[in-house]
Amino acid sequence: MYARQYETVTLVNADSGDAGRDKVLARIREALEKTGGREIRLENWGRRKTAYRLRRSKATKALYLYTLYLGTNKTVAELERLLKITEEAMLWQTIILDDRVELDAFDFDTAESGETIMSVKTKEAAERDAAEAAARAEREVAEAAARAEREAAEAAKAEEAAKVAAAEVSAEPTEAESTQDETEE
Amino acid sequence: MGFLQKSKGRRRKVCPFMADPKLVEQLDYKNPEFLRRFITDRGRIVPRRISGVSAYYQRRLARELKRARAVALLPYAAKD
Repeated sequence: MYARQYETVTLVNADSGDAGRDKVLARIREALEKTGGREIRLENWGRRKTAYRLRRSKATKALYLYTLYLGTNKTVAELERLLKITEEAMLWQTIILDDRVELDAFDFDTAESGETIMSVKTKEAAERDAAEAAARAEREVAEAAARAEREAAEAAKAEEAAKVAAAEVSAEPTEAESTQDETEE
Repeated sequence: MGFLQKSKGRRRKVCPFMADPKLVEQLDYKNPEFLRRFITDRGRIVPRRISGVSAYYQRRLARELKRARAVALLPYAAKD
C-alpha cells in the first residue's frame, strides 16, 4: 500500500478562540478518517500576526495549525472541501512532501517526534516570554520587599524620634514642676 | 545585509548555501525569519546578481519564499 505524505498549514480565525480551533481540528480528523489518511503530527504555532491583511476575512491575526499526515489525493480534496465550509478556517496551504510512501515500512515514531523549525522557534519564543515574565515578577517582588524594608526602617526611625520627643516632653514638665515646687517653697 | 552593499573591489560572490550546507536545512517556508534575509524591506525577492545565490538555490529560495507568502508568513511586495 502506498500513500503520499502531505503537510497542511491552516490559518484559523484568532477571534474564534478554542472553539474555532477545535472545530478545524475536528474537520481535519474527519477528512483523514473518511479517506483512510493517517495523522503523523500536529503542531500549534500559536497566534501570530499575519504579514498582510487577509482577503475577505480582513484579519491581521491568525492561529496557525500545522498537520503532517499520510493520505491520498482524495484526502487532500476532502480536507480542503471541509475547510471551505468551515467559517473559522481562513486560509490553508497543502504541500506534498513525498509522493510514494510505503505504509507498512513507514517509520511513524521518528516522524512523530520530529518538529518543524517554526514549532521550535515558537516554543523558544514562548519560553523566552515566560522567563522574562518570571524575571519581571521576581524583580517586582524584590522591589516590594525592599520598599517594605525601607518603610519599616522609616517607621522605626519615626517611632524612635517620637519616643525621644516624648521623653523630652515628659522630662520637661518634671523640670518645670521642680522649679515650681521651688518657687512655692 | 552585507550582500546588498556595493563592494569596492571586485570580490567574487559566493553562494551562501554552497558555502555553508547547514543553511540549506534552514531553507524552508516554515522559517520566515531566515527567509527574510533574502527579501528587501519592501518584500521583493533579492535578485541573485546581488545576493550571489546560485541558480539552483535561487530557484528553491523563490519557491519557499512564495510558499511563505501564501500563508501570510511573509509579505507580498508592498504596493507603492
